[in-house]
Formats: sequence, structure tokens, C-alpha cells
Amino acid sequence: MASLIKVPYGAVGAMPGSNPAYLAVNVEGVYSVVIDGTDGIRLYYDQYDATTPADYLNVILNFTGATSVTADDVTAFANMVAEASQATNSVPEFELIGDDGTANFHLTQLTPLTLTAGAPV
Amino acid sequence: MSNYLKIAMLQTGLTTAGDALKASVTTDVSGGANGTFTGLTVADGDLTIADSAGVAKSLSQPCTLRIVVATGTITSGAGEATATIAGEGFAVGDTITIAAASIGTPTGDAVITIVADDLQSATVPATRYIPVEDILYVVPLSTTTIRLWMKNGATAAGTGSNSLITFSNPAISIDALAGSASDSIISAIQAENSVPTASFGGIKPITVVMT
Repeated sequence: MASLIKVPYGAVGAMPGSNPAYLAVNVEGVYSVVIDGTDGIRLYYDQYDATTPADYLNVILNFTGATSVTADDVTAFANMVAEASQATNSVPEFELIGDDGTANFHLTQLTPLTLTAGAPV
Repeated sequence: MSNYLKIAMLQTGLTTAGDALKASVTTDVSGGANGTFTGLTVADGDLTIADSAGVAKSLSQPCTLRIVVATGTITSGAGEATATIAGEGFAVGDTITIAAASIGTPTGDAVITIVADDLQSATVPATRYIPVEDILYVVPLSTTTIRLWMKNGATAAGTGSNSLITFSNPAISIDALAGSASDSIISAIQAENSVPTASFGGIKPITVVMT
């Protein structure tokens, strides 16, 4: 079973009934989690880029607020990756530590996740 | 656990192929102005939907039509009848009455009588399945399109395997469509001994294309 983590996404109460929206990211094969600027979390996957085998896949989670992500968030996400791999019947929900209930701490609406690649770390 | 995302495709919406409804115009117009009339909807009073017995019916999703009146009629020459948004809830024998006041004020209303070829079911399969284990995440593109990135074969250049899912009827927002799709993936992965049908906030796709 794939390991998923769901992350708050888009506008507050974006779903019907003003319920929150989440995007799930498949974290199976993630071996490193680092901060990306001050508003992103970069995931390193143990899978190489299909066209550039020297590079490995990265996914960047892009949060709306300009300074929403801290080093402690990265540690928490890394711990959750391990937790998700053990959770056979649940999908853990990640929330930034500073989440104040605004969309600043949600993934951005139009580019919530970026697929990229880089040298392994 | 389920390995597939089951997708119920739109069946009872109108085909959105250009001019596809012209052959089903059973009452044409005359005596009005020529022109292109877009954005015709039930909500604006342009259209009235009835079943084969003539009883007014409501659609589960609204449709939108474009009508072109040329040389005084819809069915001749450059005249056109096209669904630009498919809607949902049509059946063979239903009628769409287009108010004369909305299409150049001819002497009477126009009527389209739905036949099997006018429905999405004529060309779209009822169900599609997408392997769910390999989905990396949902890419929101618009209120009518999402992309499911697959992990295998993915490239940073964005040329990897993915499924592009297109809807005719728009979702209430980009966030709601992508969020619903993501919730469906979670449900499919967690389902034991069943293949749950994906939900996209009340709308159904018209195409699922693996690219």
C-alpha cells in the first residue's frame, strides 16, 4: 500500500459545506526531507529521473505564506513519512507548526506541488 | 486494499462535439435575426427541458448551448446547435426548448429532441480505472481539468506518465476539484476488498487520457 500524507490545501473551507480541502502526496520512497526557501518542503525520492538517471526525483510542497515553513516543520514531516509507512489503514494529516487557520499555512491553490529533480543528498 | 481508482464517466450529458445537435433540431426557426447566441442556459430562462412525455424536468448538472441562426434558420447552411457544457440528466426523447427571445426573436421557439447519439454515452465508456498505487499527487489545472502524476517514469521536465482528466461541467473551484480527487485516491488506497467509485464534487469526467 502506498504511503500517503495529506496536507491542507487552497482556500480555507474550499470544499462543499465549507469543509477543508487536502491534497495527498505519495511519500513512498522518500529518503530525505529538507526545507526549500522559507515556504517550501522538499522531498527526495529514491527514484531517478526517467530522462536524467544521475538525478533523482524531488517534490516540493509549496505553502502560501512567504515564511510559513520552519526547520521544526521539516523534522515533523520527516517523522510523519516514517509514520505513514506504518499506517496501513490511515493517512496522517500534516499541519505546519505555525498554522493559524489561514490559507497562508496551506499548499498554494495553483502550484501546490512541484515535481523536480536533483543530485542525491 | 484496492489497487484501482474507479471513475464513473459522464453518460447522460450532451455531446459537446461542434454542431452535433443540429441534426436533432425538430422545430426550426424562421422570421428572426441571424446571429450567434452563446451562453444559453436554463437559469437565464433561455432553455426549458422536458421529458418525452412533455413534463418539465430538472437536470442534475446544467447545460449550456450555443445556437447560430444563419439565413434565418438553425438547420440550414452555417446554422449551428452545439452544447458547450454537457450538463447531466438527459435521456433519449427529452426536449430542449430554446426561447425565441434568446435567439433573435423568430416567430416561434426552437426545439431539440434528444437522440442516443446526442448523449455522452454514445462515445464515452461508463467506467474507467486508473492504477492508484503509483499516483504521486494531484495537479490542479482548472475547474474542469486535473492531472494525476504517476511516480514511475516521472521526469523533472514534466514529461512523465500522467492521467489528464477532463470534465465538461465545472467544479465549484479549482481547490474543490483537486481536493475531491485527492480524497478519492485516499479512499481507494484504503479500501479493502472493494473498489470505491471516485467522487469529484458531483461532476463526472468526459475524458481520461493517459499521456
